[in-house]
Amino acid sequence: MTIKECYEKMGADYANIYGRLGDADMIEYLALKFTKDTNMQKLVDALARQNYEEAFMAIHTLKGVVLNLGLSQLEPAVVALTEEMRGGKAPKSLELLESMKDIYARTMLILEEQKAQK
Amino acid sequence: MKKRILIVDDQEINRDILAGILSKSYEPVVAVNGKEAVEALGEDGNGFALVLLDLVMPEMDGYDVLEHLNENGFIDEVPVIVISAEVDAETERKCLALNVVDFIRKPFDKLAVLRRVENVINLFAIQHNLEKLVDEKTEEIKKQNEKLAQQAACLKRTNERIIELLGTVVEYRNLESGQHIKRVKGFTKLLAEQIAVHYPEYGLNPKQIDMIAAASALHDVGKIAISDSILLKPGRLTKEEFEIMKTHTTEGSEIIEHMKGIGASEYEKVSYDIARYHHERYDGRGYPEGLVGDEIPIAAQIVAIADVYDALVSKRCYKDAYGKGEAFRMIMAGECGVFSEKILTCLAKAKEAFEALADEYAE
Repeated sequence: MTIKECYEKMGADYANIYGRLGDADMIEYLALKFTKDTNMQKLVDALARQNYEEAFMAIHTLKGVVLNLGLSQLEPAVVALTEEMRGGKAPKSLELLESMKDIYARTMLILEEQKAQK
Repeated sequence: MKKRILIVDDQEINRDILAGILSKSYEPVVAVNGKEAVEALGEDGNGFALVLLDLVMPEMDGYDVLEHLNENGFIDEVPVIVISAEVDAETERKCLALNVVDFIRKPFDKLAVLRRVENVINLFAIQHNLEKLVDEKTEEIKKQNEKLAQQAACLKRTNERIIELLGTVVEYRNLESGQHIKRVKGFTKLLAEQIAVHYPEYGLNPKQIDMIAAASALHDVGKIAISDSILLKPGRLTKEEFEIMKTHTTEGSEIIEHMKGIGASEYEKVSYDIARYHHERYDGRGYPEGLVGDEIPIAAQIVAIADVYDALVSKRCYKDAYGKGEAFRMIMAGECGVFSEKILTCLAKAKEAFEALADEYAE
């Protein structure tokens, strides 16, 4: 599928990112690079160790990536949780956290699928 | 040769997007934190046309980089645009205080990035070139001004020499020497300087004083029109002879009118006044017009006293020299003409200087 179709499958807003970057090849290159993202893992690890400073850094970085890539399916959760954890605090909306992890996993699958086609 | 842009951000996605947007028209170079950025800029800014700088980075953040750039003056050579997700008012202020030129928001918009980068680079180049050009032009103008000042000074000296020469020619004819001109000039200057100090209402500035002193050389230029029999007569002049002698004032001013166009025009009026009115008296009983008080141009009033003093302390064909003290007393007592009280007080103040000058330029 095209990267446009890929975005639609993920539930992301392709029009938005295309409007901003205007380059389908660049978008695809960057999106597929996202499969190598380590920030979610860093977040989970840090939360497990209750190191909320590190956890905030991880989700803050993830937020930057999500926004830049226009992965709007992840946006609401990542943005909300980033604010909850700002200043090194523990997240409060644990359900939201779990939901985010699910969406993240699904996103990765779809992107890996796209990557395999190349 | 594509212009080089330094992209400083600790997040790969940001570096990737910016490099992707810019690589068509520019040569992007990346740094992952402030430390690498500073190294990349090296000793002299390394020819970068622009720096895109993130604020939050490990090891050396954007603010540290900005402070470094301000300290070593690179901030004047290389413009910095801050790339940041959140730029609230306080952050903006802090950045602007560190001489950041513009801000680009995240997430990135290709058109916005390209336009802002282009605008900043172009404006910076124009401003830089303009500053250089203005500096060069200013230097040029400075040099030209110096040249002009030199020429003006030269011209002034030439003018003064011409007038002095003319005056000397005339004085030679009635058997005066060039020293008389020098003395009258010197007395004139001394007296004028005192008046400038004590009576500023006469408006005598240094330029004017120089002009009056120079023009004093021509005070008796009209004597060239007087015949030898009168000019060089050793005895007393008859009434008719005196009337003719008196005309050296009006003749002198006419000669000076004919001199219009030769030399500087500012000297013309002063020379005219001096030649014509240096025999007027403060009480109105002088000649040629019988002007009263300060109707008499100040230049003429000054030269009148200078001339009288010099006549008294010098030997003339019709008299011997008086002693300096006696000459002074006679003038102050009104025995040699009527002068303005104000000017006489100034003469009193200049007494020693007058006497010293009389000795210096004695025959």
